Amino acid sequence: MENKEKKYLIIISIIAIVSLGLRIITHMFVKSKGEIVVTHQSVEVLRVDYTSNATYKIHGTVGILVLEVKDKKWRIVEADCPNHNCVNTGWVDQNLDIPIICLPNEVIVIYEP
Amino acid sequence: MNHRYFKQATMIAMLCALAITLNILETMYLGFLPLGIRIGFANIVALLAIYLFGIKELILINFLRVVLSNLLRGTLFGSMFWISFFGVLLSTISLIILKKNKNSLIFSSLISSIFHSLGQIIVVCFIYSSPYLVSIFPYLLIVSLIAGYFIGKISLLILTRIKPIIH
Repeated sequence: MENKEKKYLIIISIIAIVSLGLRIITHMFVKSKGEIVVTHQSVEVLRVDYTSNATYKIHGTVGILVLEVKDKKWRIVEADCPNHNCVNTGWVDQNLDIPIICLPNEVIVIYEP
Repeated sequence: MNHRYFKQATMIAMLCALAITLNILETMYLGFLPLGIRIGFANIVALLAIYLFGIKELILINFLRVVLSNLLRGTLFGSMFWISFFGVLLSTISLIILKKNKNSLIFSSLISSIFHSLGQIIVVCFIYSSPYLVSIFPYLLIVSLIAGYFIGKISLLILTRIKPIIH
């Protein structure tokens, strides 16, 4: 390679390393809140921290759902609906980032990082 | 009929087949890498095409490579197709400009590999309509610097061996 090309290459490498460093540093300092958001008919009704150990009652279209948050995991304990798909979803944590959905009650429980 | 014309057409077809095979094999066996990182072995063929034949043949081989390898994988006109298409488009344009300015092969390979990632990341941002996906570009920049260097080195090795046979 010529001298001029080597100079360009060094500049590009410096840009690459600096941008990677900035990326990693910003990623370390920006802390995610981690909240569980419950919506009923697309309207937000509940927003709780995912580290809280508590149970919450949600009023759905058909009846009441009970959301339990424990040890950074959450689930629907019981619900007034015919087929209990939301209860059968079981425990959900931030790695298994799937929503809990109850169609008859029109309730969706999602995790927001 | 021109004997030279047929020879060149056959060579282009063979290079095209080579590029498609490399592309598909890479997708099959290196698909586990995170962030969609790929080495880009098919770009060896693109470098060989521009240094052995010329700009017209490079455009032909690259365009055929993208369309046919996506056709064979069954992702034609899907999101993957557009991502690879715009990556190849930008890298081809940058390669042509670098060749016109008489830069060395390894340097051309490096810069075109960076532009390849740039084109892909721009299209990814448009497809998923979130500009924050640019944040994975630093990783891609490092990978494309390393991969571009090695691809250039391999192409140089192949070119020195193959050039006396063809011309």
